[in-house]
Amino acid sequence: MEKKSNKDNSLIKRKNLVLMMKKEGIMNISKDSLDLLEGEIERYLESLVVLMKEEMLINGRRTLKKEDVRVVLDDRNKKEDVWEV
Amino acid sequence: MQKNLKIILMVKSKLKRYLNEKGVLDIVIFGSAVKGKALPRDIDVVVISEREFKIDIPGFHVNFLKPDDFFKNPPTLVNTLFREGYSLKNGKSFSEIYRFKSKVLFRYELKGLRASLKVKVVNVLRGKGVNEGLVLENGGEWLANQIFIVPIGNENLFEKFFLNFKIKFNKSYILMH
Repeated sequence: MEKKSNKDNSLIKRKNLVLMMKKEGIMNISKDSLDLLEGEIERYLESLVVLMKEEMLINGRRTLKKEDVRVVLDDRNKKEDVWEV
Repeated sequence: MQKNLKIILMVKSKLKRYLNEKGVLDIVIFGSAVKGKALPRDIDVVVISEREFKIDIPGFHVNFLKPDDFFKNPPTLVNTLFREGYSLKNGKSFSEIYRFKSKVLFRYELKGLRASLKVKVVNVLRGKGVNEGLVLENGGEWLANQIFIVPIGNENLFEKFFLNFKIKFNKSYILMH
């Protein structure tokens, strides 16, 4: 199977994702379900990166700091809570 | 405007079939989705059409305008479209159809700020060394000391920047020919 070079930097590799699922007792995983999951994780990470860049610029910095990441994650979690209500 | 190109493309794909509906002259996006908000919570659109019909897409706020609305007592929504609207039919901002460019003019004051903060703000906005500064990097242009214009798509970034540092500022929308 041809290896996708642009997937090499994904935070959770497919191999590790499969391992996590197997640990939970999911023994057989279809390729489609992994593709779907991978896409969703990629979209989530992309949106985090966009928000983190914005937070960094708003704070007048060119270096992403832990506090920027925390603000973005807290903000996202808050929004998710609202949706749950 | 390019900043939110992904969102615009997503909106276009969802509304594509309505664009070809009979009587629909254009569908225009406005609001936070085109003003540079990283992840807008909802999408505001206006359908310019002779007749109204139902568009039910979660997260979309749909308004209708009739062609007559542009001439007889135009509602404030018409004003908003010229200021920040993005035409899906033409693939460019609403004002650009009429060869205008929509910009935001920011004026700010550094009076009363700590000296170190003043330096930081100036360095960020005007740049230092090889950095061009936030204004030029985001398609902006300096008009005078403490006055600059930026494309409408970057309004949100500068507004949040000034609010974050508690800098007094005001903004005006301008259409340039």
